[in-house]
Amino acid sequence: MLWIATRRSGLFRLNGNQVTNTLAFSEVIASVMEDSETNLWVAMAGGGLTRLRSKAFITLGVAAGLPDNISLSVCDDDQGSIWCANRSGGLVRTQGGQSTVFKIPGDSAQPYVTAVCPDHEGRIWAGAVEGLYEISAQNPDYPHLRAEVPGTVHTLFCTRGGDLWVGSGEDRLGFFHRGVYRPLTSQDGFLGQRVSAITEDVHGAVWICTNRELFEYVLGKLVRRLTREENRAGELLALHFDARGALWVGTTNGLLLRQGDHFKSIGMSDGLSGDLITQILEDDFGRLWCGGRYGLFSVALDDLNAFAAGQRPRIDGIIFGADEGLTGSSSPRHRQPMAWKARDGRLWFASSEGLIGIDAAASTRERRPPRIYIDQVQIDRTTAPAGPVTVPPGRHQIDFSFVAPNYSAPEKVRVKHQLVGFDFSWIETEGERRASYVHLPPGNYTMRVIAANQDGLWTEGGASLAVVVVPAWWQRWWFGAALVAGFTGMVVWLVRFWSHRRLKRRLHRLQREHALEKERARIARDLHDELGGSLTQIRMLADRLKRHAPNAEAQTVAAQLSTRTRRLTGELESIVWTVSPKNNTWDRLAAFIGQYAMRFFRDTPIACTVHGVDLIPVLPLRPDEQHHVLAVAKEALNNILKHAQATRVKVTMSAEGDAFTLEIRDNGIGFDSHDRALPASNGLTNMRSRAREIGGHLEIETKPGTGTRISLRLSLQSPAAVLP
Amino acid sequence: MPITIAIVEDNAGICEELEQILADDPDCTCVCVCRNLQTALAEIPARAPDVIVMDINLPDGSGIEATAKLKQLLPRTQILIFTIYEESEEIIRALEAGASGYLLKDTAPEELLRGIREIKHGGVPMTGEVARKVIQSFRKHPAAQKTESLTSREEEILQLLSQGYISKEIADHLSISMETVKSHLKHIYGKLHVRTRTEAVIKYLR
Repeated sequence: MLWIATRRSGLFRLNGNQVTNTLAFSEVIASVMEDSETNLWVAMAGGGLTRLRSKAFITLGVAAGLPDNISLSVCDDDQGSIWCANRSGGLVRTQGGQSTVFKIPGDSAQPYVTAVCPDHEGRIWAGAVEGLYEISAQNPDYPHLRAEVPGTVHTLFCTRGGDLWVGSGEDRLGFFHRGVYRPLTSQDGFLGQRVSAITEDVHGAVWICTNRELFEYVLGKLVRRLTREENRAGELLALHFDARGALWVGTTNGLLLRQGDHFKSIGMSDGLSGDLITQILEDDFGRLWCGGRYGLFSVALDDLNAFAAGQRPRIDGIIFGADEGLTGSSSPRHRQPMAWKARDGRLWFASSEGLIGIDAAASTRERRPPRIYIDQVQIDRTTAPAGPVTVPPGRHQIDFSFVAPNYSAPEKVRVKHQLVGFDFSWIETEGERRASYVHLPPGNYTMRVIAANQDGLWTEGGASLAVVVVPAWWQRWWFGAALVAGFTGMVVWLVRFWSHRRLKRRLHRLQREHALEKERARIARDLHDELGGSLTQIRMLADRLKRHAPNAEAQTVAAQLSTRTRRLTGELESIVWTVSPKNNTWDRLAAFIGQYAMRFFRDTPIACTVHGVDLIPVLPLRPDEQHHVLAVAKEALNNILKHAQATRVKVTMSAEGDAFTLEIRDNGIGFDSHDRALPASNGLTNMRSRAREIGGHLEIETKPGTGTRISLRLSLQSPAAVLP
Repeated sequence: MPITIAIVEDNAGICEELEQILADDPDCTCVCVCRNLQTALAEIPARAPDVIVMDINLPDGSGIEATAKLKQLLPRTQILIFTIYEESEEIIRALEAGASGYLLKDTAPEELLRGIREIKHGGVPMTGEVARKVIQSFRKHPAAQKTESLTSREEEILQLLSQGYISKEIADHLSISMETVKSHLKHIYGKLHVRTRTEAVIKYLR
């Protein structure tokens, strides 16, 4: 189709070889554009923007020359003319754009036609208050009243066989067969209810519904197919057999589908676009068209059947209305035919808006699903930059706004979104084209949106946007790994730390001990050098004094001083030896005892010999052992020097197996070991307690006159004092 | 002719006493008193004394080192170790380094003078403990030549010494004279020097 925009004369359309002035106005047309929904947009200088849309239907009303907008019944004839029962105009024929009003004689001042229906012989039958008129195609200006039909005719139906069924008054039903009217009576099973609708099945059987019941006319009898008791659908208003032979009943509560002896009810809650259905037609595209209180809607028979079979949760009725420029249409009741499928396939509906003729083919054109965009993303009400969204860690509100441009029926656009990774299914927001999420857990998401147009056609794919909620550092996998590793490391470190600390402590202790030993050695060295030197000096002075003494007494005192000092030097040496850290073995102790003993008796009349020193093994010696053994030896030697009056002392040390033995034997006067009064008894007691102290055994063997043998015996391998 | 004596001793008081003791003896002449190792090495070689009375602990070194170096320079000079304590390890090292005897500082003046005279002629007796160490020293460093190892009699004498027997008792025990015992000891000292000169002492001579 070619559109021609003019400067001063509006918009023209070239269709075939016919030019139509579609829009007539004086503004200058600046631009013409067709959008994806086949809307034509016309921009005018000073006239704003106008949208043009092709109509999918035509209306027959006052504009088309009809006396009244409202028609109550509609049909066509084999000439392609449309006949209607116009509310205030009576019988009207429209042919080629020309409407003709036919005069119905009648006795009423106002010509009133209730229903209009053709038969197979080219006649038009028109119902009126006073009865049924027969109008021949050849001579339509002279309607012929058939007086045998009683009451106001309101329902007309012509079977394929040519019988004209007539419902009239409040309780009449009958049919013309070969020109003869035959009323139905109680003998035929008709109890005189008001007839609502009449139809015919594929086998030619006529079905009639009254207000509450459905009948089939079988072999001259009306057989009840739906009783008043069985009917839960309310009033029965319309009947239709579809192309497959299934019976649909329009009711005050939607549709009924006859399935065997049962009826399946389909209502608005199932997706039907209206509940009070007075008109049912079927187009050539497998759709059922229904008219009623809420206007017109279509629904695919396949969907209805699938729903009835339980294969579909709901159906999608498509309202034929505002979208197509039809607003607020509703159909009358208690007439037939109110809807008519013309021979050209056009569907006609009587409605409050006039006769509506729908080009079913045009209305089936595929409308494209709307495009949808994710228009804006806000994080905490601050617009995020375009592109994939990155949400910082923590608690944030994320708002998505969607846009699905549709200029045909924007209010009918439906939008569903799903935040993949968070939402389990699609979420349809009613009215709102936005979605909010608060405090999303960290992760990768995809926001997907799809939209559907007024036909319920959903976009394929839709729009999507990657959303990344950045995990806080403590939410990242590596943090978890690090946590585990850290904990393990911590444990390892702690173990290491403790063992290290223990080792360090031990090292410190050893270092301390070492430092102590060094200090001891230093003290020993100092004693050795300083004290020893001084004592030697004193002793030498005493010697000089002795040499130069003026008299014997002074000489004696000087000699004593010298001797005492020498003793003192010996004791000092003993102390130094003990303190010196290197003297911590048994062999060294033995050597020292031997050396001490020999030196102790030097310059005395007592000859001392030492035996077995070289046989003592190099084994570690505890300080207490060193101290006590040496002390016992000194005590014993001192006793000998002081009390024994001996001339010989024999010190013998031996190591047999595990035992160390120190034996000190003299050839002195001996003593009674039980004599407590002995001056040496204190010394003996001391020796014994020292021996006990180190787990040793002291043996004293003596008798007056036979010398003394003192023997100390203890283990070489005494358990070493455990280090603290 | 008096015995010329050099004193190496760091303690001033003791030096004074030693000088006094030597001065009291007409047979002895103190030619030099050194208070440390450096002075000793500088002064003594020129004076070549008969005997050096050597302390072990010196402020700037060891008397053992001094002994080794001076014995090297003055082979005929006898060195008498004069020490406070009978620390046998040090004494034996000193003997190995070339000392011919040792005396403790608590020795009476008469004994010191006797020791000086004795060492002039070959050596002074050793105590039991030192004798024991000498035996160990010989066992530890076996002699390269037969002449340098101890004879059985010498070892016997050392054994007895180490057990505390005095020279007279040893002489009695072995039915030999005191002079013979002394002679043996002199030989032992000599062997000790020869045998150890190349080994233990070498470090002091560098």
